[in-house]
Amino acid sequence: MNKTIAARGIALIAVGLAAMATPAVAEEITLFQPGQSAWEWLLVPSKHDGAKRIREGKTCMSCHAGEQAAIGNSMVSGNALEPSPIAGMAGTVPMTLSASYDDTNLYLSACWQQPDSTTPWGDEADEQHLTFMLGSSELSLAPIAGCWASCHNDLPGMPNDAGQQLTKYLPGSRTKLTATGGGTNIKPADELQAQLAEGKYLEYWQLLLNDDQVTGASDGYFLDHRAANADSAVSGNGQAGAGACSLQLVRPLAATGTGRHALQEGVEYTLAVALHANHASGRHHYTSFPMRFRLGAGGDAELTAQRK
Amino acid sequence: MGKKGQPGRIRRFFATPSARWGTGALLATGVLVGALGWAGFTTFVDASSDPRMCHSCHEMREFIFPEYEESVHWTSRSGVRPMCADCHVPHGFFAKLGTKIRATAIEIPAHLMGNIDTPEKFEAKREELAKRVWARMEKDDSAVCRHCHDVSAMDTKVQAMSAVSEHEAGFAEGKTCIDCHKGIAHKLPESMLKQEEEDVDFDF
Repeated sequence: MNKTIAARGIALIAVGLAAMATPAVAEEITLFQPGQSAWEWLLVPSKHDGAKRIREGKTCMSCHAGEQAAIGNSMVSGNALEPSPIAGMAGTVPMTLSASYDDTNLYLSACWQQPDSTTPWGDEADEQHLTFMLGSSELSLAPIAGCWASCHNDLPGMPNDAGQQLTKYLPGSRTKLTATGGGTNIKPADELQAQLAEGKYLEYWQLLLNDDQVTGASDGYFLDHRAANADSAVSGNGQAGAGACSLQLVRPLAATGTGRHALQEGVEYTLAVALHANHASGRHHYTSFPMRFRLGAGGDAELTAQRK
Repeated sequence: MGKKGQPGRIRRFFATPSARWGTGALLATGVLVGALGWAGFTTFVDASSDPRMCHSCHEMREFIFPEYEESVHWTSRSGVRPMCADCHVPHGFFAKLGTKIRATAIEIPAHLMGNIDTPEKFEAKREELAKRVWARMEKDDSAVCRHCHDVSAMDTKVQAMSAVSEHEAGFAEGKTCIDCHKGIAHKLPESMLKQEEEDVDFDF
């Protein structure tokens, strides 16, 4: 009898340990070429059938889940939204994504195979950039449009690029937006500071990779422009590449400085991924649709970080 | 007297039995004439709906048809290629007859007067012409679209998710095909696109 109880106890402990050691749930996502589908393009009904749905608050995934490959392949083969497709460029990149956290940090793991190419796709010094974008519920556009809220027709390489060398910005940072973008109609500094304080910005975390090794890390935020933090809170380790993938981005849960969200268990955020591969620059990146992201079980997020 | 006599002669012509021709011969002749007339009419309608007829006008051949060749109706995964008449000539008899009469009375004279005989003239009138076609489609619930596309035959399992959701929402709102599918065979008028961009609120 005592032996039976002991055996059951050991079995329960084993199950408990196994549960604790369960790896984070990996999600298979498809990154795709977005072409020149800027925020302004999204909102014009004759150009984007879902313009009305965006205004209703629908997310990209609510209409386009499963269409990533079709969109990406279309962009590299002569879609009107991509006036200068790069020869030989793949339309999509499959990626395995998982997340976990402990009392101190968030860990994001990503595995993908850089598409083959005999020639570089751009003139970026680093071979690959892996960028995560995070938005909180304070920014209403974050779950609806994700990165697209920061992509505009007047950015470099976009249809109304007037050579102003603007960097990504949010609609809320401009006094007026038109079909050509918001240009330099930037709101007064005190209004931008208030938006920062209210969390109405998109945060980004970026790893630079060469030969599948992490060679740099940075973070920052998008509001009126892309603001890089002087001291990166994120770091990366491991190796990319489908064969021996161990790449991990580490970001402290706590927020320090400007333009950083404190990450909290049980709270839903918006997370998106962008990949510049093979020295590609600007719009020639692979992007994910924005995903609902949550730390800890519960809810129906598209990516859930498991507690370690 | 003559004027009074005419109705009587006409009535007699139709009402008096023939002493010379047999009833069967008369009936057969009537049927033959009717059949020949019908065949002649449909041949004329078909010939006037043939793409070669449309192509015989240089404005169609040189700057209207080429943009159609860039559209999803020209090349698609299903391989179905509707031609001009499939979308621009109704398929019901009387509607088709009306279109032919209208084309004869309005469009041929417009062609002869050179109303759209240059790309510039066509662009200037594109919005007016497009709106005329859209109005007809809105009025008859996009009958020419539905001649090929049957909503009940659509396999939503193989449709894009966005198409399924937009169709559901659109039909629930009482929309017809052309309400959403403008500009899928010919380019949308630049003037409309500019106006639309001015009307959109990008700050929302």
